[in-house]
Amino acid sequence: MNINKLSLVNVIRNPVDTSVSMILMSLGVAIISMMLLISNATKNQLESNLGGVDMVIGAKGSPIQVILSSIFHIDNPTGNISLPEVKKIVNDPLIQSAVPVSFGDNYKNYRIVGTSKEFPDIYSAQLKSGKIWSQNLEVTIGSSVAQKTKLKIGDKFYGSHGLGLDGHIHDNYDYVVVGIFEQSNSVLDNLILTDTQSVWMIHSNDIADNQDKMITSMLVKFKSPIGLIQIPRKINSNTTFQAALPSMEINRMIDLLGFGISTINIIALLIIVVSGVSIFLNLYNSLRKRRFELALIRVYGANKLQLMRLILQESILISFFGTLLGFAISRLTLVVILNVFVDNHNLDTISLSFIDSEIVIVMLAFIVGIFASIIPVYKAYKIDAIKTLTNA
Amino acid sequence: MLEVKSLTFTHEGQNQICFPDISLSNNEGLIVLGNSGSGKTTLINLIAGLIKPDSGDITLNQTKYNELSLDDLDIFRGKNIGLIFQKPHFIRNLNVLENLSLSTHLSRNKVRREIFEETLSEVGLSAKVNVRPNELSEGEQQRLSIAMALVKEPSIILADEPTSSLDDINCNKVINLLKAFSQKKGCKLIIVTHDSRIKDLFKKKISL
Repeated sequence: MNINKLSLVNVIRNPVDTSVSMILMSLGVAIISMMLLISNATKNQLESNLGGVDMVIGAKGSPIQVILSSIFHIDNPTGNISLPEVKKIVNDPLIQSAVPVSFGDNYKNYRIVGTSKEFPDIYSAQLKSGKIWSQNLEVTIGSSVAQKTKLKIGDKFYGSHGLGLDGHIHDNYDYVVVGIFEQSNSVLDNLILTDTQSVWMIHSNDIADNQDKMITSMLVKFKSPIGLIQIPRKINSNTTFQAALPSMEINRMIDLLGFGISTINIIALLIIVVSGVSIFLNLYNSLRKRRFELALIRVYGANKLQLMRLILQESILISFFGTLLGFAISRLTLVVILNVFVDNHNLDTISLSFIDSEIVIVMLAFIVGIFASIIPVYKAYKIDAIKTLTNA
Repeated sequence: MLEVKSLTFTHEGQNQICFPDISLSNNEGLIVLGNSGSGKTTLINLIAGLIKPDSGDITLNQTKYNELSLDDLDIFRGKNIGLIFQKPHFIRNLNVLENLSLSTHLSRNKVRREIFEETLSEVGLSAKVNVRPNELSEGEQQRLSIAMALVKEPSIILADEPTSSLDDINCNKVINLLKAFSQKKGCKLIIVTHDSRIKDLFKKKISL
């Protein structure tokens, strides 16, 4: 038994005294750590979903909506654009590739996207089994789709109209699964891909014969940064389409998100400060009760430095255990939220392992532990062992 | 060998106390008698090196207290002096064995479980190794505080009213323990008391 073990014993064997401080600390830590995990996952998700897309051409409307619908597949599109018209625009030496995207149907809430064979390349997706679609009505599906809907190669299904669950079923044509992609940790995992032709075919009744072939949007990659400067401006001022730049819109979204996160973080910081105050009160009160013990430790032969270290260590241990508890709580909460409450396919891939920015929390807890102990440590330093013991 | 010469001490706002000279060889015991307020406990604290005298010399085994720094005196006390207080104090969160272990460690003596167990069996607390001190009876607590003083095999034991709160049976047990240990290990023993049951325990006695 030594001073180190004694500080640990004092923290562990007094659960009633120390648990309130620990729980407060763990709540603050849990909230901040959860925010970090979510924003970290969101950022990774946003960036990987961007793939190689520099610009999206869509119908006029909110640019953020164009990005949300065509890249993240979480909003409705702004409208349709004419394929022949848009082809004229993308036939430009500054443009490296242009991939058409058309959607409007879903299967069990997973979007059916009509596109070209270049689409999987945007996400560097690899086939896990089967092949890429080649005939009309053949589909290749993302890994999460396969996992959650239990669709296998050779299975047939009907798409339902719209992007929600209760659209009418297109039961005149059935799709057939011909391939499944490897997990790519991007939105592709949640998509059902087919040829643009298939989407037109299914909706052939809705499209008048003399109308142009329509698509939802065009995903464009530039050959050089000059394209980024010239082409969007040209499209926005000279055509009926709009050019939305994903990187710009994502920054706007992160800014909006960041505001909410920092508000929550301030609340969590306040909780951590309160936990520091609670640790302080805790130690301060226990010092009164333990006056004799501390005097005794001095008489046993410990010097003042050892006594001060004892109190400091207790404070740091309480905040440290609180922090560990907080990390556990944040992860448990996320697991529960993801599995029970949220049916959002985009959050499936959130990582629960320790992330670098969480070191800041550990340091914060450490500092709070030190600050909470300053006055108690000073009190312990001032204890007059002899007076305390002989005036008993 | 303990030598105390022309020792004086003044409590704040009180008259100076002059203590009689003391000379104690190994194995010897001394009873210090006196009314409350006569400076009995002060003498113990002085010999323990817990407080500094106004004047006078204390020498234990050729070591002069005056020549030691405060830190060295802490270490010296830890190694050589066993203290038994009027009311025993322990670390609440530690059990009997851990209390022994901590005090031995802090006084820079070797932590050896055999010695702890041997000492505990001598004071009749073998069965209480894993019990917390506040679950012990008063007599058991006093015996534990004796065990705490004994485990480091001190060269002198200073006991301040060790029997005042004990009944006759426990009083006898405590005294016999102290005497037996002092004989066995050749250690000096100073007992401060106003308890008439033990005032004739040793030939040597002084009154304050």
